Amino acid sequence: MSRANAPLRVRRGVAERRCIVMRGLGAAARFVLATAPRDVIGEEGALRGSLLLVVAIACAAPFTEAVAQTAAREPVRLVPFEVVDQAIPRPLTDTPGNAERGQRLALDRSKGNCVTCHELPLSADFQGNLGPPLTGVADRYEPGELRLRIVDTKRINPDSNMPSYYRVEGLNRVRRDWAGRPMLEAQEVEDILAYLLTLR
Amino acid sequence: MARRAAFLAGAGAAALAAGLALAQAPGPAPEPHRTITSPESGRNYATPETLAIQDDDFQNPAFLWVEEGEQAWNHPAGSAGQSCASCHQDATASMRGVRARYPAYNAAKGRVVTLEQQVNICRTERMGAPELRIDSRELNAMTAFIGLQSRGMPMNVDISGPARPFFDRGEEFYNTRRGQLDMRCGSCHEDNYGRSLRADLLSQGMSNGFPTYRLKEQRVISLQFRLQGCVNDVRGEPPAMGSEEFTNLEFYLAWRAQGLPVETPSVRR
Ligand code: HEC
Ligand code: HEC
Ligand code: HEC
Repeated sequence: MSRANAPLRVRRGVAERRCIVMRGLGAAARFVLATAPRDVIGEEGALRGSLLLVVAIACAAPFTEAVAQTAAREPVRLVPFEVVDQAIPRPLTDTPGNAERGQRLALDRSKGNCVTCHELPLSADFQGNLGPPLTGVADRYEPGELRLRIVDTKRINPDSNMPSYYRVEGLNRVRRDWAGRPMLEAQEVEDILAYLLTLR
Repeated sequence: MARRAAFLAGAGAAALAAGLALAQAPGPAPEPHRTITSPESGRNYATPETLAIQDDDFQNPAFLWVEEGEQAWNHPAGSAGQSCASCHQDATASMRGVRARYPAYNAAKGRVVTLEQQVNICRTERMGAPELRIDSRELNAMTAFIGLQSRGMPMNVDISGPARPFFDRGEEFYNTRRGQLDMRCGSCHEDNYGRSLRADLLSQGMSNGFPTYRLKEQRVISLQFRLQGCVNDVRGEPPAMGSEEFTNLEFYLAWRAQGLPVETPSVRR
């Protein structure tokens, strides 16, 4: 039973309906862009990319905690997958992963952002070291093992500080612009995996 | 017969409850455990360039705020026509050591208050002046000015007695994973200080330098503004500045930094 797929009880609240009314207010968008924090994990890219999201946050701000929590959007339905021996042997999608796209996603702050915590064998202005360097990771693990490490590494190590990239459940007080959505789409998981498999 | 059994069971339960109450009530709560036993100030993780700015009061831009705070200290505000100085006189004497003791339990309020909140209590309840917004320029100026009067003194908050439940709630917030990244404060500031998160060298997340001049923001920021940033970074829903949750967290953070010298106003990247 994949815990990622169990239903989440979320109610669309007043706040969200008001947000829909507010959609398109350029002033709100500019306000959020000007005030949103953009260090560490770096939301800059994500914010720039989506006006819709921006308006959602702008709406969130004036409402109380209680409203904010009940007003999260419907959780996205995840592609079902099976975990066997600490691995996900079968791909999440039918389209084979694209390593080039995967590398871009690994650097993208609003997507994988793997380089924030891992050294990668490529040039980036800064590379983090909360986790081990990923060079040679394809020699250390089978593809299915790497897939689970991207999807939900806490199933291997519950105390891990690495985020689960394809999970929407069991999380606590997620910012409303991300609530109910996984960090990566299924195809993006496959793309990043394809990139990891080039790291020998 | 049955009634007698019920009576006995009831009496037993009452005795048990009394015993439990006895076991819980007396004696101070046990001293909490500090994960980092010898804390290090964020200055140990700052670059030499940043420190050079902090260590020279003429270069440190936060002193513009300090000056504004000093002016406001002496300037009457509100319907009572009083200034802070009317009651507290010379801040270098009356405010010495205050920043090191805050947040502190306020008996009249029955809860812990931050320095910001205490300033607002005096404004609203004694001066007839409006509250200043948390993290506003005026309030950061005042807390920078008050904080400076404790510079070099060791952080020394009192978490005993009625303050303890607030401390416990702050500790719980600190240790709870949150956000889409599902991290605790300690995921970065206890497990990984000294390591890099892209361009950021992680410190122990100590609060002894606040309010601080943040080079990136080009202004003095309050601690709770920084905390909102940290919660946002794990894609968590940040509590409001001035909320009870952040007040308790700030209280816990002050205790984590216990013994570190107050560095207000520090400079950070
Ligand atoms: C917030 C920090 C963080 C981020 C972001 C992160 N990781 Fe990790 N990663 C870790 C840590 C810490 C470990 C060490 C194992 C553990 O604690 O679970 C790890 C371990 C790994 C491993 C196992 C490496 C080995 O040699 O054992 C792989 C593979 C991996 N991460 C891939 C990724 C990929 C791919 C991404 C981006 C999609 C990513 N990580 C993003 C922190 C992170
Ligand atoms: C009318 C007199 C009065 C004025 C004016 C006044 N205060 Fe106070 N203040 C007090 C009293 C009395 C206390 C102690 C009792 C309490 O906690 O409320 C106090 C306590 C404080 C404390 C806590 C000190 C400690 O040792 O815990 C701070 C900080 C403070 N005031 C700052 C200010 C500032 C800043 C202003 C101006 C904006 C100001 N006060 C204006 C009367 C005043
Ligand atoms: C994803 C990692 C991460 C998490 C989780 C995190 N922070 Fe931070 N925090 C940072 C970074 C990066 C900085 C800036 C560099 C530094 O001082 O570590 C910072 C700075 C701070 C500072 C300022 C330190 C100084 O000397 O100026 C404090 C205080 C702080 N964090 C507290 C917290 C608290 C409380 C939490 C939990 C609500 C938290 N942080 C969660 C990354 C994190």
